[in-house]
Amino acid sequence: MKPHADGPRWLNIFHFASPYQFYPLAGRLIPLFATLAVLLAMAGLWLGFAIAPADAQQGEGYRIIFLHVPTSWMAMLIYVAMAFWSVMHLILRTRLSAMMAQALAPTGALMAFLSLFTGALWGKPMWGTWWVWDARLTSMLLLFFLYLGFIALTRSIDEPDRADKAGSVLAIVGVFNVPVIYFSVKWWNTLHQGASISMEKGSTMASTMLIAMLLMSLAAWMYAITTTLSRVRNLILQREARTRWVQELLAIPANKA
Amino acid sequence: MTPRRKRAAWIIGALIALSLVTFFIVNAFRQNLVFFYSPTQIIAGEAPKNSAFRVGGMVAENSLARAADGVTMQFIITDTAQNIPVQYRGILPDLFKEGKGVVAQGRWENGTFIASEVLAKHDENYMPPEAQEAVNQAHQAAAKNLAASQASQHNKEQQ
Amino acid sequence: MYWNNLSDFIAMGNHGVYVWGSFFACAAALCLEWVLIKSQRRNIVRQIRRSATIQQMNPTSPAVSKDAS
Repeated sequence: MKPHADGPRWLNIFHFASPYQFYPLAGRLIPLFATLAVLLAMAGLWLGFAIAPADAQQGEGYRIIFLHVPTSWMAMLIYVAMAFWSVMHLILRTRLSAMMAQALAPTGALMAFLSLFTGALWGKPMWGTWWVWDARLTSMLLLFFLYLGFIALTRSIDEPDRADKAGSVLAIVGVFNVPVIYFSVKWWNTLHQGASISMEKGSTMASTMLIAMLLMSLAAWMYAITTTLSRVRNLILQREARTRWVQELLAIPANKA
Repeated sequence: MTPRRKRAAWIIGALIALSLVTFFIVNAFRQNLVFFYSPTQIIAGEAPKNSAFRVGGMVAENSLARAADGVTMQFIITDTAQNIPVQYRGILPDLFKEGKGVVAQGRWENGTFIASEVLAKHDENYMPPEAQEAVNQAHQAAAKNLAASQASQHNKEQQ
Repeated sequence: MYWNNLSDFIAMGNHGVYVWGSFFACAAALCLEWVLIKSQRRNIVRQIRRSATIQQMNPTSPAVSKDAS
């Protein structure tokens, strides 16, 4: 998409929709988000593991919450972001949107896995079991499989245009699982407890614990943005390998005629 | 309509259709997907008769006891309306306490629930022990005040 | 600071295995993901350079074939 002739170029959102323009922008943003991720994680870990008091019910074991909740939220949010870029891709036919969705998926799958893993390690001492098939845990497992399905589908199709389209459709269909995960503890009786932070009740956590959890969640956001931008740069290089700008970027001598 | 608007309309239509489908599926599961039954449901005969199921509620205060054989634990699961006596041989989880949430899996046999697995269900409140202590004291004080006000009202009525 | 000594911090009230297990699983997974992205990038760059070199040496390529004849 070509930027408008009149008006400043940065005002045009389509300007950065071209991989050629987005690649250097992403490169400049990565160190910023990586630094933020490290700083926020250090602050959150310090507050959560060194400052916050024990919990009245669960003692010290509750500290898994500082890892479990950020990874779970991130797993759900990344899927929503993936669906958003998929809608953008189907409507606007921008290649970069589909690349964004595909760059998000592995980090989302990892977050879903970590959510299930830390959840199992939390459930064993507190509930007395690693796993139960209640609505919350089952719908989260489904989210993990949706990520794996998306990755497998987009990688199994060789033709990029078709892979983008098929992946976008799957991402959009699967997004309806996200509100099911979120409301599962309300709609069904589950072993998993209800939300500690909600619109109606506010927070049911002591403030130090809450701040530590929010810091860790912000760190997870920054981490996810960092990995996504790095991965989208890889995808751009791969797909635009034959273009002049990539060849120039990698200082490959031009084929003299 | 430009092609882009047309695609947007198609996708929005598909999204609406899909959300309706999800709504109906979830709605259908709401009745069927039961992780545990409450004591009231079991007394009303809603739980399966000849197969294992789960019961969920609170462990009644002062109900935990060891049976004569020294191994079997006995306690009562309550939802404040109905009580279910439970027998269980095994290790109880750390968070199993009287007055706290519990989910037990097992069979309903002759008015007793024979549990094969007992899980603790904790709530979504996280606070330091001192804060929990303060909350408990406030609850007790409120209960005392209520009792006192009821007593004084009773006295007034007698006068 | 909440902790009085290091051993309490490591023990986590007898839940150390679960708490530290979660912590190190997350730390290891995130570091591994970052390393994988970096190595993927190196592979892609190497691949692009190699195919560019092959194309330049390819005798069917018009420029090179002219020189060879």
